[in-house]
Amino acid sequence: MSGLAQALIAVNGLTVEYWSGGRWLEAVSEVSLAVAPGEILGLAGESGCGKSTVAYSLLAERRPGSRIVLGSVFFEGHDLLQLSEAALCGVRGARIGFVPQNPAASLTPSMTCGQQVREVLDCHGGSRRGRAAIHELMALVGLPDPATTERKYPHQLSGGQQQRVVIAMALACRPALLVLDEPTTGLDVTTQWRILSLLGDVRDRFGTAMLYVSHDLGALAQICDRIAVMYAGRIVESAPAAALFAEPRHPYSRGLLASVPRIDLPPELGGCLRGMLRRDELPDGCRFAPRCDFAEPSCWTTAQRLEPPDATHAAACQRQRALPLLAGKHARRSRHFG
Amino acid sequence: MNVAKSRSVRALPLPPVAAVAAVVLIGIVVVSLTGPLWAPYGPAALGDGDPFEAPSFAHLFGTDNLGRDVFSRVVYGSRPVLVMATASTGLAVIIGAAIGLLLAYWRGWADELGMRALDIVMSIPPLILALLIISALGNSGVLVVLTVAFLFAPRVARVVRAATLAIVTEDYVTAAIARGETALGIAARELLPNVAGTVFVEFSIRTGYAIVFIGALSFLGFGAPPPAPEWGLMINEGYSNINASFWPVMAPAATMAALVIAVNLFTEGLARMIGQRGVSGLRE
Amino acid sequence: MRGLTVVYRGRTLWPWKTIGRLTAVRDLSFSIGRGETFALVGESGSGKSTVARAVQGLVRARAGRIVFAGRDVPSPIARRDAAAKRRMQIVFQNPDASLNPKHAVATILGRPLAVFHDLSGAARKRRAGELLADVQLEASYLTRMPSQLSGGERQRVALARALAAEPDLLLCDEILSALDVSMQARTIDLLRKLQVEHGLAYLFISHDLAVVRWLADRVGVLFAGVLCETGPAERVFVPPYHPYTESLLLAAPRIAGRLARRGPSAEPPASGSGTSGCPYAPRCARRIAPTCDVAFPPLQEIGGGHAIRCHVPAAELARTQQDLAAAAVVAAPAPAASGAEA
Repeated sequence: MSGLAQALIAVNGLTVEYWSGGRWLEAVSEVSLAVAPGEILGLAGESGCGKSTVAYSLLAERRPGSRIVLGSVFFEGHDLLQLSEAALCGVRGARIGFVPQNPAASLTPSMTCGQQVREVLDCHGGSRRGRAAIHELMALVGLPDPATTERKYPHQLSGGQQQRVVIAMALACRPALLVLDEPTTGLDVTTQWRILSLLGDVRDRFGTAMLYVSHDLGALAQICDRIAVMYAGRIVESAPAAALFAEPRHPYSRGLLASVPRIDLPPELGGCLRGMLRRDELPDGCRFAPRCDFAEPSCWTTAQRLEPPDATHAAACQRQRALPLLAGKHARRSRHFG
Repeated sequence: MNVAKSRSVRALPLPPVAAVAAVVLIGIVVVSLTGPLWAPYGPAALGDGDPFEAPSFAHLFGTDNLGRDVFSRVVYGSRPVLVMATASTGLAVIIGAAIGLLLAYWRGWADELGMRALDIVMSIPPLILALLIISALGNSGVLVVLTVAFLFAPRVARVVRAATLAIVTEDYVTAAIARGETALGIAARELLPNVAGTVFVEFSIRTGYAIVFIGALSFLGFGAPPPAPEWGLMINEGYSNINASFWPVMAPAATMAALVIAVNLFTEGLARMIGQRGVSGLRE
Repeated sequence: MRGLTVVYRGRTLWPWKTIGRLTAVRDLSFSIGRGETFALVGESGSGKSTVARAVQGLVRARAGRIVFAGRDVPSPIARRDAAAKRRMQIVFQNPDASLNPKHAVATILGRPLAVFHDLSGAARKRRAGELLADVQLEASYLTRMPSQLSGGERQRVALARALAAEPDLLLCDEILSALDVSMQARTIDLLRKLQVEHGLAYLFISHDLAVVRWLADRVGVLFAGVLCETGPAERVFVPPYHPYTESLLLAAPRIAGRLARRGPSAEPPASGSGTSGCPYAPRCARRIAPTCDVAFPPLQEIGGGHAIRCHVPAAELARTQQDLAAAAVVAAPAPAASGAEA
């Protein structure tokens, strides 16, 4: 991870377990990442890989049925995981904003939008309160006609508008960091484009850093500066966005990219990821080995670390250097049979 | 650092209070079914003791105004109460659930009409309606069961309808409609399994009410005639002489109370257990 | 090959008590040939789900005809005969809601087998196993409950259930939206395989243009209940486009490029807002006032089965539009002539 010293928020060795079927299972294993001020970091992976858990850990949220076993989350000089609930209340909302996945579910159905934004301002706002502040926020996120919108209830707004209200609430106190958990899933392409533009504008104007969690590589491609790919609770690759898409070094990232439908290119045969993530059958070494087309026997037993450590583009695969050559051979072979 | 309660099914998922209640319930049921084994005297046996004796080893709950053993009468009286209560509740639940499922499935004006009809039945004071019916058609156990079922069915229908409305717009129901299944088929196959928990809880709740209601009917003399050992009747017979001995009143009343409380606690535990497991917990 | 056609033309009214009657879909016509994939693309609120449900008979059409295999089919499903019901099947978007959580997979597959083919007992079980194999699931899945399956697996069971009826036409209502990217890719492969094996026609509803481009034979673009553009896939993705198609392509996420500078501007209007003109006019960058606001745009046939419903002449569109679906390096595209920026 580059620039740990100047990172706005640095997660170190985070390990989270959850209770399932009578025992503790690891959802997140030794995840370390850092977001620089004004940077947009994307966290990519399929459902079940633990990325949402990482996002919630940034808020030091203790969810029932899970526990944080190890790790630290350093933000503005404090380890958030060690802070008391009272101190955390001062951080959440004020310094770190959160945009959850389902906007309809995260807005209170019985309060108008204006009231909900006011609630956030009252809680943390300090000097900025009142009607004017609410209208300013709504205009900021591109909601038309703030005076009417603030009197509407969430169910009277479209999905895109609801998400804007949630973003307005998250930005109310000009936080330094915004954590977004799949904010555009379920919204269609045009609404997604607008929300992403909005986020880009916010970053340009206020220098807000963001952690954007999503399984949608297309959305990540449009807005992120750096992307970390997670698999089965571990980070398997971390790179600047352009570098990741041009040259994915981990077999999982390759497979994921190959699965994304491209409007400009026809889908390649045999590029898809095969099999499924089975949490009960993870080997001790590289967790991706069972599904990897390039795995050699030692992959199953050797734990993988991000190589090269502390570089801008790192992948947790011992065969990463050999990969391009192997991939070429593999593609030729599958086209043969395909 | 919370550890959520385990979600897997263990031997006894009920909370402790409900488990105790379940034991009490089972005890009462067993005693009532095997009555003669427990009661030292017959239900109408006279002259085994002096009237209004205090509890003793011979008469566990003392004797009543005619010298009959109260304990034996309570034991014998438990059977008609349980049989009638469960029968009437069972019938109410079957009819009510069917109505609730269908009304929720149809929605629209059929639902509105049905709900208004149910509202009308529910707005009549139940006791008065029961007294009217029984005085018109005579005292009989079957009639009591039918009347109570008729009175409780709308309440069950309402609850089941509410639970069904939550799932009736789900795609799997739509898929069944697209297959051309009949309304009854859909209600039975698609909807009922998903509201079964609610139905069962309703059954338990209504049983408690039924017990008290039937007791009230027999207290007012609309149950079986004397010398039947029905609890309500026993209370009626004993309360005028309560100064002489309160046991003939207390014993059946306390037993009825214990039974109803046990039913309610058990139901609450059951509902909580079902709530914990969720109606359809799909994504982990 | 035109053995099988579905022609739907008509108005669908969606009664909405507070707003009054809302026209969800207006005067829509398209046809699907046997074994062909027709994709219907649009944003949420465009009415595409309504179309699927109307074709399936779950929603009542106010006017119009559905012609299936040469015969007129009544709109509400209750009035259709068993054969019509069997030959058209629908698969839904949300895998969590489309399977009954209290039914095992064997029961879920067993119902259509019993209803449409009168199978029971061992024959039914065997056929259910075959169906699972068709969707690449093992026979051991028969005893599982939906809560034990992943989203992708549930969606495949839903597909198997639709296939159980041995339909000719499969209506896929955004079936990929709830799935992960890798699951989507495999489901698309599966759809292709099934189409070849069983000769299925698909009405594929989606908002994802990238998927549609390579899966569909023909595409229809829907906006606010009106079909703006229809045509073979290879022609729709190449200029001339309807302005709405153009904005969709601009907004579509690209792996290798950053956010396109010009995209859709205003919020979409509520459908059926009562304007007599082109429904896309308020958002259109190429709007010709006052024609576009007042007159319903005509259908321009461009040849090869490609048609655009727009007031702007197709030739001018062809001249001024870039090929937006080509090689992905899209820098800020040059603004179009009329430049009604938001």
